[in-house]
Amino acid sequence: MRIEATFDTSCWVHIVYLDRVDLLLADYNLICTEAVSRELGRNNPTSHRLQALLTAGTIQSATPHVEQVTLYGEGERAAINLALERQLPLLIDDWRPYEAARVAGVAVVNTLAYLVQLYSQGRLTVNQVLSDLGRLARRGTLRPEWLQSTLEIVAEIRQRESTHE
Amino acid sequence: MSKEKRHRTTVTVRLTDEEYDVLTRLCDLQKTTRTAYLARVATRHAKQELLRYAADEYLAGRASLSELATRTGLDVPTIMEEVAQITGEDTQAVESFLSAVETLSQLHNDPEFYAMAKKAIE
Repeated sequence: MRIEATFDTSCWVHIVYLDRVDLLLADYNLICTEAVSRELGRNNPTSHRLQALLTAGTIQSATPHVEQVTLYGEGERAAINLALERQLPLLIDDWRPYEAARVAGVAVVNTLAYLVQLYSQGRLTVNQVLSDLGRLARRGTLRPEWLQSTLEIVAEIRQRESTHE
Repeated sequence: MSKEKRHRTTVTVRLTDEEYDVLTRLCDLQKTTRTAYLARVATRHAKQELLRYAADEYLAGRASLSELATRTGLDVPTIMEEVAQITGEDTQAVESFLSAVETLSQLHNDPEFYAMAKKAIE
């Protein structure tokens, strides 16, 4: 069953960069705020991908009605407020608004946690997950501590699997 | 089809005689007006400065990507691309990633884990 969720710009950029959009869409019924869509701009692969999915109706568009959280960035503010308003999980990779959302009571997920889940479900191989993590490390757009923890979890899962074999 | 008219704002620039002379000579050589030249150069330079500012602020942990997009008027993918370019210029991020993998590989007695990560990142 697909879960309804909303997302922040940072997470969408990473998911498109890793070419994991299809997997994400298989798991989540995504709702995109107009502010996030605006923040993606118009002339880059990430915005093209989003626009195509919005046009096809695969991703729904929405705007929060109430501003419970008043952060400075428009996209992060809209995504957090929509998540609060509709009780949706929020996919977000930028650590500052991630923490703000978590403190506000939003159920937060980031790309790294999602990759771990895909690996633990056997939908990504260890090679694929390490390659994705390496590519993200190279980009430097994620908190290094998060990457470190993710690697530790992947290693733990791999260890557990090998002892079960 | 008629060309869409874009609103323009006048900005006055005061130059010394020497600055004016340099500008005029270049514009004559490039067969362009001083206004067109200054507008083009200033805009291009300002965009680069905005991008660099956004990437530096993000890397220093002083602002979120969304905040920086709002502040600078740039889109988030462009800022992230600049961050990636700056980070990509130094190999520290990759080295630190691999060193974490190596530690885990030793802790779990799993040399293949490190070998796979190294191969994956190449």
